[in-house]
Amino acid sequence: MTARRRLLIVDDDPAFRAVARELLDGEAFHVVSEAATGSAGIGAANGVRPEVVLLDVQLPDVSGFDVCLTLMRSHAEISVVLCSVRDASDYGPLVAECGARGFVAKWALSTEELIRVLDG
Amino acid sequence: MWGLALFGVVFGVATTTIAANDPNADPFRVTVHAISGSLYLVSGMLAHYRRPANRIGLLMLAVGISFLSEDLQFSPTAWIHTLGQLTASTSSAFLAHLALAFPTGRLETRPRRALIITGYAGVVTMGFSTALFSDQAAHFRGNAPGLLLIVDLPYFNHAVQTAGRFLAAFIAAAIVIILIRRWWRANAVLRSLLTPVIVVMPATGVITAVGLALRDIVPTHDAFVRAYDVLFAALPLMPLIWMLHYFVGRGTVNRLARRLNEPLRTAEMQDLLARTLRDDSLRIAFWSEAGLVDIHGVPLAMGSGRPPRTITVIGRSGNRQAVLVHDPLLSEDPHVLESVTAATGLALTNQDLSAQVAAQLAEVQASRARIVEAADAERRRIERNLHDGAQQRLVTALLWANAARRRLGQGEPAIQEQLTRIAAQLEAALTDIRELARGLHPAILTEAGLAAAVKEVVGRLPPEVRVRTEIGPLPKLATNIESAAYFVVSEAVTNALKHAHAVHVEVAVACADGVLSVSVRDDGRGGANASGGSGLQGLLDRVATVGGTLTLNSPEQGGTTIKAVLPVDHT
Repeated sequence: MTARRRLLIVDDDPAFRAVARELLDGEAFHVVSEAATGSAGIGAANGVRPEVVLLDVQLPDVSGFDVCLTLMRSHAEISVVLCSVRDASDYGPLVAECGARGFVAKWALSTEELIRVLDG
Repeated sequence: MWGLALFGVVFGVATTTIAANDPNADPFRVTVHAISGSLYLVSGMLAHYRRPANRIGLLMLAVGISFLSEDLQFSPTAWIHTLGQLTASTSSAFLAHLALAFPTGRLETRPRRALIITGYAGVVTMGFSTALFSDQAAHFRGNAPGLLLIVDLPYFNHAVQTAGRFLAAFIAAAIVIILIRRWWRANAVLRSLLTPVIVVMPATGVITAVGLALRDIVPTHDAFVRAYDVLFAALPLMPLIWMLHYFVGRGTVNRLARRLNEPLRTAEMQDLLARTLRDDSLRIAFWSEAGLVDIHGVPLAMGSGRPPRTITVIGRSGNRQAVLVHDPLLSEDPHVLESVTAATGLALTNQDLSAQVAAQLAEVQASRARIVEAADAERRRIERNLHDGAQQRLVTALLWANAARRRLGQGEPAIQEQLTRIAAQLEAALTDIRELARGLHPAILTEAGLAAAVKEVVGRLPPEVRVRTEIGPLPKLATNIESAAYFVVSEAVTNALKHAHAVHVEVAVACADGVLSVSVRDDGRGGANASGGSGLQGLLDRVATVGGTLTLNSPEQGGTTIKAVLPVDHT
């Protein structure tokens, strides 16, 4: 069994953060922090040094794509997985262009899906 | 006036008969005299008909009648003969009056009035001198004795007549000088009216002056008198020619009316009127809160009244459209001025209606654009609300159901079963809402722009359809332009697949020279048209709304090309 991966959840909806933590925090992932905005997410990433960031595309301050680009510049070792209520197809090439590891539609979110995207 | 004219005609016949019956009569002189008098009568009537308010017609009639009355002297009847003696020289005074009053009918300065009054006084004096102190019966065979004769004073009368002729010569010379000065100082309008007069009046004036002065110095002056008679007869032809010129002027007015029918700007209309009426200072003016303003909206300075200006209202009372500010002389021909203002009024009405229609059309187009824009904005808002609200909550609910199933593990199969059902329903609801949202507004257009959205549309085509997509570099586009372009591609690709059953589709999007061109070509069935309920009419409307054009080429033998050209700077 591999070590639990340190996970940061960035999403402005507390209800989603709560259910994501419920779903993901377990044997595979350890939710080390949550953030409600893009800038708070970058701050948290600097502080808690996560291995994985589950990053909502639509944040109140900056777009998830921009947060991802910033994180990639400063912490290239972090794997960013974007998530949204929308499908990946609604974002065209943006997901691939921002350096994210992958994309998970929120309705399909589960530990298994996240692992598949990260290691797939 | 018309009574006087009728009298003049009857009078002319009578006097000519009297003159013709005179045993001393020179047939040439009688004929020229009759023609000359008649010409004045006819000219007077025409002038009066053309310009009823102007005294010129009356003066011409007076010249004609007084001229004809000279022949009364040849009557063997005493009282008629006496009348002839009294009026013998009056035609000269009326003629002088006519020359100075032309073309307004008024004597405009005090010296001119004084000159003419002197002339009338002179001819009356000359008439009475002959009647009172010359025994014509004794001097001329067949003449009746004058009723007013007191005593025959041939030398006295001769002196009076000679003095009168010198006075007449002086007045004639003064008139020549006044006319030349007036012509020299006149503006274009007045000059065009004065020119015919200026040519003949001074010539006659000189001949009158020289002729009268030399009458007794040159003993045989028959040829001279004849030349004078012919020229005098020709005089009324000048105003006649002048009036004919105005009849030609009617042709000009007709041409003007035709030109005014063409679409003209107000400035062009003003130039045309100024040229036609030969008044460079003519202006079209409109009412505003600041008073009369010219065609550029600048308040019109009516100023000191020099040069004098007259205002003629265009349009009927209660519907005053504009005014013509012009030389007062133009009012001298009310027929021409009325025709011109009527034609101008019509042209201005047409111009006004065209402008109103254009403004209404522009307003309709703008409101259509606003309606489409508002509808689009509303669809985007609803899509965004669905995304942020219902979709988000359903997703969270679904994930909680999944989380609960995960916690249950292998236990509680019945609850597991129920949770699975809840999750399935939630997923179905989410799918429905996603479809609904996509139909409202394509999120990819907002999120990733036109190029990504077009690729996404093309990417949805089944693998058996061969697609070639060319998308050039695109600038940041206005939302409505992006939407229009997207819907053209989306609709055309959907039609190619669903209706035309195409197997090969080419999509091209390019932006150059301020226009965005979008084209979709397929090898399907063809024969598509906008009335077929294929959604093409909606596309046509949407593209037109943003100021673009949509062309459809879909021959029956197959293949369809839809091309939209959209302005990039349209907002």
